[in-house]
Amino acid sequence: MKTIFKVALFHIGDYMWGVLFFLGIVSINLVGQFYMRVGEIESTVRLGGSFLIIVYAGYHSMEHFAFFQSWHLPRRQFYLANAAALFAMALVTLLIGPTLEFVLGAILPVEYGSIAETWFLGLDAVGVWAVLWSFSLHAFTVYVLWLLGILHYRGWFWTSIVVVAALAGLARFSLGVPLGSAFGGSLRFFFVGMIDDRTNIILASMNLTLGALMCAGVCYLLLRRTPIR
Amino acid sequence: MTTIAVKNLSKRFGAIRAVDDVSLTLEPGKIYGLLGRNGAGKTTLLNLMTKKLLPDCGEVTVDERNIALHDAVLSQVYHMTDKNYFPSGLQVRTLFRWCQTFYPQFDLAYAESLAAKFALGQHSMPAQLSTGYSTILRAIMALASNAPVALFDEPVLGLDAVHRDLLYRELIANYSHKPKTILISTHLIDEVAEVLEEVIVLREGRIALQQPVDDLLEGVYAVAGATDKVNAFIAERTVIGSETLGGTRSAMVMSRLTSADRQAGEQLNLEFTRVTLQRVFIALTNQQGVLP
Repeated sequence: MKTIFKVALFHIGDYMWGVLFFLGIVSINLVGQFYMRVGEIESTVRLGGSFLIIVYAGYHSMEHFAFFQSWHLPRRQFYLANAAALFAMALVTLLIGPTLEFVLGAILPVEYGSIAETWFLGLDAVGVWAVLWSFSLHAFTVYVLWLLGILHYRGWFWTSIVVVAALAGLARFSLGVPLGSAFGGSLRFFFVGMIDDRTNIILASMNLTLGALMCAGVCYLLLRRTPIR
Repeated sequence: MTTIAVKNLSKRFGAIRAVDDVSLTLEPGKIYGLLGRNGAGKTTLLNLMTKKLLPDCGEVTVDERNIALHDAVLSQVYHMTDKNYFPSGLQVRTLFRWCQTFYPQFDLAYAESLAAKFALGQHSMPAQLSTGYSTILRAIMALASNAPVALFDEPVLGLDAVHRDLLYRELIANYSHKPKTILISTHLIDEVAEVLEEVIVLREGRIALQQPVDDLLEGVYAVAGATDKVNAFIAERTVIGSETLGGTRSAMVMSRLTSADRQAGEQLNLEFTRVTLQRVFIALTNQQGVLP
């Protein structure tokens, strides 16, 4: 348990470079806008800019696999440590927007539009479910990226292309862009409720959580038999 | 003491059989040499033995526990890899402390003293180290890990003569102080020959020979003299290598040198000498048909 905790902290420390980079970009952007007085100052975290961190963390999560394997860290422990670290990153990115707004809002007229508010404009997307939805979306994304990271690490290029294509299809579908009746219908069948046409935030949260758990499960199965590169 | 056993292990990379039906047992407390030409499968075998690669078939057990199912038993094994897998952002001293996490028996004071002996700066970053110092860092951690089984893959890669000598001496001192199972894969055979108790020779992914070093060297001798007389002597003997220079010939014979052989040789005015492990290895791995 102690080893898992230590390895998880090592991973979080590594991912924090992504957080710092993101915060640096946002801060420079806001300060730049403030001093140049270009129109209204807007927060660049609108539409979930913190996703950059999630993408970095998820895809970067196999970076130190060989390092820990060279010291024979059991794969199960590596998996648990990394899963915990990515879970923590999902939490961090969930909190990053409000924190930015709170900190920067004290000195600059920044308005933060959370991703839940952006996606569920038709609803009163506030409160616990909005937070849970945002968190589950971040968690789903980070575990999908981890899965992609493992596929790339294993050198399964075409498999990862198929997964990326499926995710791109899902993204288009969820954004309401028509994909053609047969393909769109199939996607609706598989992913109905994932975003649920931006009407049911509770169902969407549960589906995203389920998706995140499924991805994490597949990551475990893949990781058990992943050779080092 | 820990026993590591390999049973019918095979691994292919495309059409190449890197490891082909290998079975061996490393008995506790012995020092083995894993020898083979480039591409013989030495590194692949070590990676399979430590689950860094997954076999196509066969199994590896540590104290009779299959590593495929119980990879936690690999904490009994330290594998000094031929590559540097350390993150570039960690200092040497931080790596020492990390190593302690995975190998609780890791002797930090010993590692620090070895670093001082080899003049390895503890504030250095692994990515900034030269090939030689990168090897030294990995060797230090292997020695200080105090794991019951230590596998060394090219432990002297890039080391100068002084550092190689120092490393061999530290290896022997470490083994004398805390006996363990050691497997050394190297191409510098003569340098390591004094240290080895048993050799495992790999050829095209298969074990071609596994024998105690003393038995192997006692089972081979060189005979030299006039070409026609040497030819007469070796006519019905197994010759694994020979060299001809002018009117003289030197041949390596694979059998024990008996008093009858010596007598026959003296009558032909031939000279007998012992051969080094490296010469035996070259002769054995160069020739078709001598080894299986």
